Amino acid sequence: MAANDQQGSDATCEVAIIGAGPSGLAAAAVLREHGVGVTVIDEQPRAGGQILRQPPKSFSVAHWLPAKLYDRVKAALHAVSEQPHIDWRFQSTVLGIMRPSPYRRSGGGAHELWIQGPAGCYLLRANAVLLAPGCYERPLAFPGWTLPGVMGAGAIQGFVKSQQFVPGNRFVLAGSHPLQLVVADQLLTAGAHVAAVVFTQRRQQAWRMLRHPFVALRHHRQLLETSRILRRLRRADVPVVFGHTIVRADGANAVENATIAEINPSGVTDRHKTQVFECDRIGVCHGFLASSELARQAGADMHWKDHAGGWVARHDDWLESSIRNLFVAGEITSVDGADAALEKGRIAAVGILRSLGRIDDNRARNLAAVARKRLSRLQDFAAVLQQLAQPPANLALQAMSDDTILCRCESIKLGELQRALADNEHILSADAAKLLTRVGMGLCQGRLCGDNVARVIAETRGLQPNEVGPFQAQAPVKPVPLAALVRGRCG
Amino acid sequence: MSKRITVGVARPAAVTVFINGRAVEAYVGESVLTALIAAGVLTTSRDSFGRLRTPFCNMGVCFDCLVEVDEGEGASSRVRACLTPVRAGLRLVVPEGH
Repeated sequence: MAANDQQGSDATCEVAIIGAGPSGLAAAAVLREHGVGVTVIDEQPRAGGQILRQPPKSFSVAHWLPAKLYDRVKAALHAVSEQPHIDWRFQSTVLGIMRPSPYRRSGGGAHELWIQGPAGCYLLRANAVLLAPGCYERPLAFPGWTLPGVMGAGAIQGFVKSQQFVPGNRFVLAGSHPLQLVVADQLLTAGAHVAAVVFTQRRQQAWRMLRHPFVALRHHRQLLETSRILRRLRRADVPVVFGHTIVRADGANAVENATIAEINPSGVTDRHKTQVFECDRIGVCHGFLASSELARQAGADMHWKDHAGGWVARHDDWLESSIRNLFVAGEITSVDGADAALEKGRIAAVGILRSLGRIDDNRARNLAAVARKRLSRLQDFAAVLQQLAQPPANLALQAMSDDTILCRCESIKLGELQRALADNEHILSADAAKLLTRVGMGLCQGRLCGDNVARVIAETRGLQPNEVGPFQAQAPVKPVPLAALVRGRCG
Repeated sequence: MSKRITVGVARPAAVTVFINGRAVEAYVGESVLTALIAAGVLTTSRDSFGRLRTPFCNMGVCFDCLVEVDEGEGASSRVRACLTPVRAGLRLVVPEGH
């Protein structure tokens, strides 16, 4: 089928890949090499995932993402992006992973994907599914974070990388993840003003970890890139502030300034030691949450990995989840970065070939050997990065005041949840809090508030966030207009 | 102010889209959200209580950029502006007052 020739009618395929990021692309390449039919579904208009959010096809961009850190994912993208033998379904949202009905004569297939495409909703049956949905920014809720102009740092980066657009004039980046250095650098290159880059980590803490001989020897390329960026920021007189966190955003109709406060050595925010930066945009950057909703909706076993992605899917050595022929790859297994995601995609693809009986165990082991070796090295680095990028414990709780909006969609304030918790000792789960207060009940289905809600409940009840659980995920996992259902099949 | 990067970037010829009836220039293929922010519109929808919402994620997760597309003859649809490419003549409806 020609690229993006999107049918609104039911279809069957051998392997459906959800997500056209590094994992999905790498898996597609391996599966195609073995003659397996592949359908790739993604919400974006083009392949690449968030790391390689491509400019529109109608644009031509000289020197797109020149930094070396993109080289390997770029190669994976170029290997398959124009492949006519892959059935690409862009601008398409998977609303649910369903089991085919035993009462309907079906065309086979282990799983049924309920998809909203440009022409409406339909079902896609697949013998195997690879779920590689990536991750999104872990939001920090703080006073003023709903003011126009406060975004995720990744959101700002998406505008620059893909849209070739600087979505503001003067930026403050604040958080704990080194990604914000990359974003600051890309903003500077694009001609924007960066008022400050604020890290929660103390300078010595960051240095000590980066200088660890294990990291320095094996990952000198990344370290070199980081020190180059720091040098460029210094040359542009951009203050890089360590040991501080954002405490509020202020402005009449939109952001006009950002206030940061010092974090004392025991991790407590000291609101008496503040600095204010004038700016019209704030990008927050505190790590990532895996997009786990489809895995949860499908009923796959999950586990809690806190700063490595929140709720992530359990899997075996071949990256098969607890559900037969539902494979998982990329950040949904643990947020380890794009290069690791490539290797996970390759291993999962070999696992799928093995599961479909295309290759035997021996051949599978040989095919996956190189990817496994690389993955283990990359995960060692990811573990160091996760530790480095971790904000102080309880930062999320310290950042909110009583009247900070916790759930953006339903405008529920922290104080409302706390009152409900005080009034009803039986609220022990995120779902119970949702029933009583409407947190997580809005259009984003709890993606933005879920992590913070779980932390608040856990703190109040003396539990761990994993004991509070995520919100129950139900199909459709994203809101779908009635008109789209009327135009197509509704599962 | 926001700005489109022009150095090293070739865009197709500009087209007109309408934001609450106001004609603005945009480019086919860029996201509706880019077109809105470039035109100075940062509040894109209202929450279930009618309060103004503003985009946070730019990747289809937060639903804060849900805007109404007027399809004529009384029909309209709601789309995530960050995931929807601009086409010529698009008529967008966003909350007034900002």
